[in-house]
Amino acid sequence: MKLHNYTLKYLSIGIIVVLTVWVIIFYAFMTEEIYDNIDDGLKNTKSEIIKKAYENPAFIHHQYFGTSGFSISPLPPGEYPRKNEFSTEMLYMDFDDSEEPVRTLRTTFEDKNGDNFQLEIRTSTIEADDLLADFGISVLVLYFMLVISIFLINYFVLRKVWRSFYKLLNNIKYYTIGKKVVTDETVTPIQEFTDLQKEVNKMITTIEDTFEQQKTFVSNAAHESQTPLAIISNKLELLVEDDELNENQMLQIQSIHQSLRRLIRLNKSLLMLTKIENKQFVNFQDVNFNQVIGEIVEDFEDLFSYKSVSINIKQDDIPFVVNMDKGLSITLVQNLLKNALIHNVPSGEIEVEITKDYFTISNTSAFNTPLDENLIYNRFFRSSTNEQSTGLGLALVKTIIKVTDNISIKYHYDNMKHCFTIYRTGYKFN
Amino acid sequence: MKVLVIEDEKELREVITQSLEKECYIVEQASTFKEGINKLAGYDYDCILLDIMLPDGSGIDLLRELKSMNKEDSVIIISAKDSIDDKVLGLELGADDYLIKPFHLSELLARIKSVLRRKNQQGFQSLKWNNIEIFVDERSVLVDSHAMVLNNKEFELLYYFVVNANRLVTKSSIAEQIWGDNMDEADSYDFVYSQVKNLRKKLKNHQADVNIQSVYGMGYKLTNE
Repeated sequence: MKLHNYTLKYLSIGIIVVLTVWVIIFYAFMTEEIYDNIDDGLKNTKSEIIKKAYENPAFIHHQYFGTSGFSISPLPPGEYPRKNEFSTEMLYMDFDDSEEPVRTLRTTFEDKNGDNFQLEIRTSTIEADDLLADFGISVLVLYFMLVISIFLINYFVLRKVWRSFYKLLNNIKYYTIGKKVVTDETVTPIQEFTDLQKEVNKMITTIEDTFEQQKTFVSNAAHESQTPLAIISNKLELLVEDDELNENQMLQIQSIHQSLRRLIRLNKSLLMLTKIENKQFVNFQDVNFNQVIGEIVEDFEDLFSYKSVSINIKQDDIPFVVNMDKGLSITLVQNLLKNALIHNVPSGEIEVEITKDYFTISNTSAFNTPLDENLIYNRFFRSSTNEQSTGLGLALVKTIIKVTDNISIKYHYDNMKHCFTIYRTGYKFN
Repeated sequence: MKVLVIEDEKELREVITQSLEKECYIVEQASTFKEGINKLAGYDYDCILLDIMLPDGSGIDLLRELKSMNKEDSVIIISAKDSIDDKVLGLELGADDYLIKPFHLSELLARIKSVLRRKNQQGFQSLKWNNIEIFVDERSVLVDSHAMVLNNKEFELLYYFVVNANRLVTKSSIAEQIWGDNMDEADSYDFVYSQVKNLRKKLKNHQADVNIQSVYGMGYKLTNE
């Protein structure tokens, strides 16, 4: 939920509560005030009637709710409290054929002769339900006006205010490390946003610096180890030519040499990774993947037959052509095929499907559950303790994909096969 | 054969020198740009191994100097930098080959021999070992003047053995040399074994006067029968 919708949600709930409470209180005050007024009027009428009745006894006898709106009825002799009783009653009214509320004052009085009488004075009063309904309607109107105006203010004013925030947010959203897209300066009069932007930029700069340093470190470390590795490897090679060595020593040296070769391979892959990340491959051209795959599969043929893994290529008439670095396309396919081969089982299968928009390399494996796509591209990730794997093959693949905007990769597990698909970025699968 | 090794790393320079001396080459060393240029100006070499990154200058500049002297010495660049640009530039400037560190000594030897062969015979020469004759450019092999049919990989393998005759060639070096980077996995050693077995069988069938001797699982050595 967007920020201004969020505030609007709570504001509209808050306003409805506040307005309801307000209308109740206001109604109570209003009716109180109105009744007070009416009652004052009734009291005034009462004292005038009693005065008149006192002066003119005949006045007492002929009054019973005529045009005057009061009635006097005699009471049996006795003691009566001279109290004013107010009440609101519903009475049928001719004029609009319905019951209407009427305010009544009931009291007793004594005439000149000491006889007691009851006096009732009526006056029509406010229609409470109508009043309440009117209040309700006007408050409802007020409510909607408030909500709409808040929404509009939010929409136009706050939107304008938040625009720089959203822009900043967007910049961060599309930020990828190493791409050096520092957020654009968005001018905003709001201090908090300016601060936020400044801090974000500072953070990005720090991250970039650290990233850069780490990259340089890996690259330097890999580079600097090339020469010592060469020396060790070559010295060992020279050493094994020594005829004095016995079998046991030879086997020891062989074991050292083997580990060393592994280290050298690892180092080479790390160097390759850094080089790709540093974008040292920019020889862009139209690469025909059908051709590249064909050539590499041919190179691998001995290996396939040695490991008795069968390979099957299905391709459309229209080739899959992508504009990218040719060397990287070769490394990409090599690593995918190597991956498919290393993790395969004896007399397993590798299937390559090439269409004009993608190619998929799928392989059977001893590992018969889907892999976690979030992990497989990590450096030195291994699904099993496979000694043949450097743990860098798929990391290389992913890095190539990352620096090549035209292609994307996806992994899925289908029909007991691990499938890696390289597709034209933006291509929609059915 | 005179070879000059221009390499600032002492250990590497010496190990290369030792290896080449086993081939009865006359090897001289230079550790800096300056030393290198002095040697180049004063003497002629059949082959120069040139490191690109020297403490007091670039091997590339040294190569330029050499070419401006109109010298015919063959040059093999040995560099830790696996950069396509450097490679292209080096070869454009007239280097004969480009080898990336770390390399196998047997590979270095094969490259040197190949460069020398091209230089001395204008690219046409057969390589002889007892009764085996290898025609590198035609990619054909004669045993006692009878053709022996080998597939591509077997030919490469035999050539690699003959070039490194009487020396131990490690399995990993064979794997890398013949199957390239794709074949650097651990079980490649078994794979090499099966390929060598095939080659041995063919050589035996053709009564080739040669023995591919395996050395404690480390590698192989081509020797006289």
